[in-house]
Amino acid sequence: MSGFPTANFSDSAQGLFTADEIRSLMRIEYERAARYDYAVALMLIDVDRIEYLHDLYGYESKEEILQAIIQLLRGVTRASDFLGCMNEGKLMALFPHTGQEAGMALAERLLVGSRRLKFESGTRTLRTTLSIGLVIATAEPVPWEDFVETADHALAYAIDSGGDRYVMREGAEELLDRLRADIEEEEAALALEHERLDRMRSALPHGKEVVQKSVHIRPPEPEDFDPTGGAHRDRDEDASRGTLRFPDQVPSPEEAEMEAKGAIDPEDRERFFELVGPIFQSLGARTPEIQSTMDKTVELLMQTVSMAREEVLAEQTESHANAVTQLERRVSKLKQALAAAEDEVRRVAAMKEVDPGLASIYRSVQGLDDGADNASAKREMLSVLFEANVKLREDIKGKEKKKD
Amino acid sequence: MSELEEEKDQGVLYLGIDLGTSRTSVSASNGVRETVASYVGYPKDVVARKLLQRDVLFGDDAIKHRLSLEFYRPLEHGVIKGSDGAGDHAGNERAAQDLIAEIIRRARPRKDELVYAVIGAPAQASITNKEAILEAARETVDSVMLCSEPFAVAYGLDMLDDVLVIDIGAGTTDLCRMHGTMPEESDQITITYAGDHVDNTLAKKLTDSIPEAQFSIQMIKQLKERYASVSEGMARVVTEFPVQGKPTEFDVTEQMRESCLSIVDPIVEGLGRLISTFDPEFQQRLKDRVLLAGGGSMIRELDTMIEKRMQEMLGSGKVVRIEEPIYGGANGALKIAHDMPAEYWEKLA
Repeated sequence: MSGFPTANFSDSAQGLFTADEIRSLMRIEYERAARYDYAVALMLIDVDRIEYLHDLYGYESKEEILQAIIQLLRGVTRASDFLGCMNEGKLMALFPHTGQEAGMALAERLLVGSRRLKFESGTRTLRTTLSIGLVIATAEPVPWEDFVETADHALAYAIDSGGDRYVMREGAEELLDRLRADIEEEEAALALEHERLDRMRSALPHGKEVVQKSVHIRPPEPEDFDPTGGAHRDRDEDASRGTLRFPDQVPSPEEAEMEAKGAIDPEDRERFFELVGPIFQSLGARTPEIQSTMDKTVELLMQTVSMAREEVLAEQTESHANAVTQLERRVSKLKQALAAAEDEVRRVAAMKEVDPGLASIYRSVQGLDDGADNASAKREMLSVLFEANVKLREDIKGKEKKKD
Repeated sequence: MSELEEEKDQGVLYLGIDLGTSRTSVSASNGVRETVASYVGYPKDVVARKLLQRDVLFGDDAIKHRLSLEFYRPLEHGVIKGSDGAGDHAGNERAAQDLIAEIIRRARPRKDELVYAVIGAPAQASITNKEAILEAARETVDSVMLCSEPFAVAYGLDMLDDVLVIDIGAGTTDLCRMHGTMPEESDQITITYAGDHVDNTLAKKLTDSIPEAQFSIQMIKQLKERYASVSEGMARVVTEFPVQGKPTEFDVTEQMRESCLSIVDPIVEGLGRLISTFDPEFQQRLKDRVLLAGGGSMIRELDTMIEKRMQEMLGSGKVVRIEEPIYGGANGALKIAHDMPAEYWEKLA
């Protein structure tokens, strides 16, 4: 088992920095990135359920796991990256020149790597996973503390979501852009659905908007009428689509209206005649009474099917209307989220009082002018002051070393 | 071109900072001069945070909302409170860091400029105190140096030869003997007879003389800043304090004058120590060149009173009040920052 301490890696062969050192170095690098406008990614990494491992299998197991994770981290990072150990086994890494895609790929690689790690503790084999909070510096830099806090929130979210994952927190502008894109997409879908709903509504008879109950009417099968069992027609053929109407028969005004709305297929009449025709033919000669009964039967069938279709159509329309309402609600919620996010960005911007600053009148270090009054005395004083500051730093370092 | 030279081309902003117990001031090489009362406050809870719409408040803003805040006056006797191990050091250090960051932000540095700062520290601050100030500043500047406050005042006025500097702050009064070289420890005296001492003395006198009056130390401080004087013929100081909730007028002229006078003798005694340990040949010259600086120098007629007491206690004295008491230290620190050679800054970066 390794004996390196968890809070201070600078004393170990691991080469990681202490929490204070890493914060200081990372802040400098972060500010440099902001100054020179290059991408930088920050990761906070936590070993899932590490405290339970500690409680169950002891301190050494925890340390071994941490060491393995650190080795993994060092294996996938560059020498120029900043790695450090924070409190309670949390690791922190800052990756200069690393944008969103690279940051996500790196996080994924760490997750995959950690899943492959195996640890033996007595007869047991332990496996571990990671939770990672990832944040990428945006074009509009935020203070370092806010940047770290964002990563911390992302890590907390990853842990709360069950671990073994990374959560990337976006910058405010990226979040707004994504929300706007979502809304645009949803609104386009909503417009299409509205069109479809309008078409469906116009297909319904006047005043028929709501379906009271679900109706399912089985289309008449030929064997329902044919004593021969419908041997004369293909059973696979959809009966409702059979031909019934005599070519010379003119539809009634009601039928014409329903046909216009699509509730009646103009060919339905021919199909129904074709279906019931053989039944009536089996009754013998085509007397006017038989003809009349057949017409009435076909009319009845037409009305029944038409009603069933209307009801199904109304039901579909209702269901679609519900879907549209849901979409409208979603768009409305997204718009609310966007408005809230925009308000927050405005508030933060106001708080920051974003100010480009006022340029110094000097572009280089000045130094004392040789022509100044008492130049040599002043130069000596400045030299003494500098030496005193150097000594102060040395004294502070010495004091720190003594403490260690 | 080296990286450093490239950085230089981006511009160098010099800052002179007077980190005071009562006020923190900055003078910058971009022409900005700002001062803020040295108070920092953090909303106590989520409700306060929502109400105030900020994570940290400074200066008068913090004083105004102090009941909703974790309220810090991070400096005491000119250094960060608790840096010698007592009290809430972490809280005060954080507040001091935020205060320094705020005063630098108010100097409006550009993001692409290097920031080199000279910070005035009390003449006799301990190494722990100086370390705490350096630690606080290091977060926000590229290179930083500390210098003694009275030296900064003298350097700013180009009075480096045979001068006695009195820098009266809120927490401490620094006395410094300048004699053409960098002042050494033996050239400097720090005493705690300063602005806060006047406040506390006045509060005690008022409690003794008008026990029915209710007041806070903030009210006393405001009263002092408005009426402080050591003049025998000073205008009457009539103010209102609540008595059982009812505003009541009180004449506090005598209490005010006596409180302000309470710092005079200790200062003159300190001057006496510095003068008496100086080369006898130049003692008279020192007595005739006394500079009065710092916020406390705004007490009316203080220069005249110190002169009078010097004559009584030391035989003679000539005191000159500097023109800008609030920015005297910051201006001097800025001048030091400007005159400091490049290699010194780079070595300390």
